[in-house]
Amino acid sequence: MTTVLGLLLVLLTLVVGIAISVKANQGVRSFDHDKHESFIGSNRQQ
Amino acid sequence: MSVDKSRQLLEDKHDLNKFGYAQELLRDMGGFSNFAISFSIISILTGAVSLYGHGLYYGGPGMMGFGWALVALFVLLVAASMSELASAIPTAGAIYHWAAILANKRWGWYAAWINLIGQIGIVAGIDYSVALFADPLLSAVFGYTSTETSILIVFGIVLLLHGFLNHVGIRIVARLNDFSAWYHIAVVAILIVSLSFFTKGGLQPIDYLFQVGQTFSDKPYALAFLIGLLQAQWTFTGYDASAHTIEETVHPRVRAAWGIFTSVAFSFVFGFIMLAFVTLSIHDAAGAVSSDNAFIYVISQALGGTFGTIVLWMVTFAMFFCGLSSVTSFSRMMYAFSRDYGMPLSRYWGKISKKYRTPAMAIWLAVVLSFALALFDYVVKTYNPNTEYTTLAFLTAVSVVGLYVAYGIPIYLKLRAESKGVFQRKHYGPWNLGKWSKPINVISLIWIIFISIIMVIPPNQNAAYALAGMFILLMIMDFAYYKKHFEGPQAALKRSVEEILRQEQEYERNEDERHGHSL
Repeated sequence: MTTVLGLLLVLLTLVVGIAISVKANQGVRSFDHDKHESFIGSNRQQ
Repeated sequence: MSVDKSRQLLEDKHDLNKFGYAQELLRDMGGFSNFAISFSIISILTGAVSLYGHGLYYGGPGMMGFGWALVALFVLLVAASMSELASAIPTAGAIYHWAAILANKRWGWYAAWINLIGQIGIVAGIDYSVALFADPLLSAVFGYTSTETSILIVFGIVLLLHGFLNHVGIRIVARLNDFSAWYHIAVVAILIVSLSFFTKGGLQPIDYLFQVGQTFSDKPYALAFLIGLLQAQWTFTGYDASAHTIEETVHPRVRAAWGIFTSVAFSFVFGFIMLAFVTLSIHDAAGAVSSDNAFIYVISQALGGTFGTIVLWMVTFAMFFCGLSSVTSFSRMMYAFSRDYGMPLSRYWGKISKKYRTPAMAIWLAVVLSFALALFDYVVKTYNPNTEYTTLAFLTAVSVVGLYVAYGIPIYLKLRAESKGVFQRKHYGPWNLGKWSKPINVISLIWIIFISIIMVIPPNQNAAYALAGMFILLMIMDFAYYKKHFEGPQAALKRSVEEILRQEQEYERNEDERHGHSL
C-alpha cells in the first residue's frame, strides 16, 4: 500500500513539473514585447 | 559574434540600463550555462549524499522515497514563483532587488541580509561536505588520521581554490559549470549501473524504498520524518544562482527563468533515481546510520573497498564543482547589494576587477565569511565536545532557513504589490504562469513557513539561536545606520544615461585593451 502511495507521489511531482513547464512555455511563446513594461519600482510609480 | 547575439546583447544591456545599472559584468553565459550553475549548486551528489545519513537516521529508507518527492513537489512551486520574478526583474541583486522595488528599500535590505546569511551557510555547508568526504580519502592516501582539525584545514584549502578560480574569470567558471552538469549526470549513471549489477547480495525489493515507520532516532516517527526532510530540503537550495548570474546571461528574461525551474526539475528526477538505487542496495541500515558516514558505508558495503573508493572520489569532485558554483552565486549577490551601498565597506565589495571583470573582492569576502561560520562551530565544539548535532546539520539548517525565508520575502511582496495594483499584468516577463501564478505563490509561502519551523526544532536548535543572533545584529545595524543612510536600488534610477554609458565604455575599453595585448 505504501509503495503505491509513494509511486503516486512521485508521479504527482512529475505531473506538476510538466504542467508548470507547459504553462510557462505558453507564456514565453505568446509574449508581446509591446505590451510589456519594465517594473522599476512601486515608489517610482506612485 | 553573430548578428543575432549582438542584437540580443544590446537589448539585454538596455533592459539592465532601465534599472539604472551599467553592464559591468561580462555577459557571456548561454541558457545551458545558466541552468548548469543552479544544477551544480543544487548538486544531488552533495546535499542528498552528505546528508544521506541524516535522512536515513531519522526517516529510515522511506525518507528517500517519500521525503525526496514530497520536498521536490513544493520546491518546484517555489522555483516557479522565483522564475516569474527573475523574468520580470532581471537584475543580479535578484531577491534583494525584487523585494526592494516590489515594496521598499528596507524590505530589500532585510531580504538581502537574510539571503546573505543563507549564502554563507550554503557555501560553508557545501565546501565542508567536500572536506568531510575528501579528508578520509586523503588520509588513506597520505597515511594520517582524519580529525575535526584536518577536516577544517581541507575545508580552508577547498575554499581558497574556489576563491581563486572565481577570481580569474566567469568564462572558466562557466565552462567548469557546464562540465559539472554533465559530470553529475555521468556519476549518477555510473552509480546506478554499478549498484544494479555489482551490489553484493543484490538489490532490495522496491517496497523497501517506501518503507515508513522505521526511525533510528528516539523520536516518534512522524516528528523524526519531518526532521529528516532537511536532507532533501537542503539539496534543493541555491537555485537562485541563475538569478544572481542574470547580468552575465544572454536573453536572461527567458533563459534565467528556465534555469531556475529546470535545475530543480532535473535534480528531482536524477536525484530520485540515484537515491532509489543507493537505498535499495542497503543490507544493513543500522550499521549505516551508526557509521561515521552512511553514504560511504552503504557504497563500500555494496561495491567493495576499491570500487567504492573510486565512486567516492567521483562524488567528492562533484561536490567540489558544487562549491565552485556557490561561491560564484554568493559573490554576485554581494556585488549587487554593495553597488547600492547596503553593506559595510560596500565600495570595496562592489568593485569589479578590470582585468577579469569579476567581483574579485566580493569573491574573497564570500570565502572569508564561509570559513568564519565553520570556524565558529569548530570553536563551540572544542569547548563543548558532547554536542548532539553535527557541524554539517548546523550549517545546512542555517542555509535552508536563511535562503528559504529570503526566497519567500519577494514572493510575498509580489502578491502584496499585485493586490495593491502596483505590480500588474504588463509587468510580468515572458516566463509567467498566468492565472496559476497566485495559487502557486500562496502554496510556496505556506511551504516556506512550514519548513523554516521544521528545520530549527531540536536537535537543530543551535541553528535557530545562530539565526536569531544574526537577526538581532541586523536590527542593530539597521536602526544604527542603514535606516537613514541606505538608499536602495531606487538611488540607481537617479543616475543619468550618460553616466551609465561612460561606465560601460570604460569596461569595454579595458576589454579591448586586454584583447589587444593578448593578440
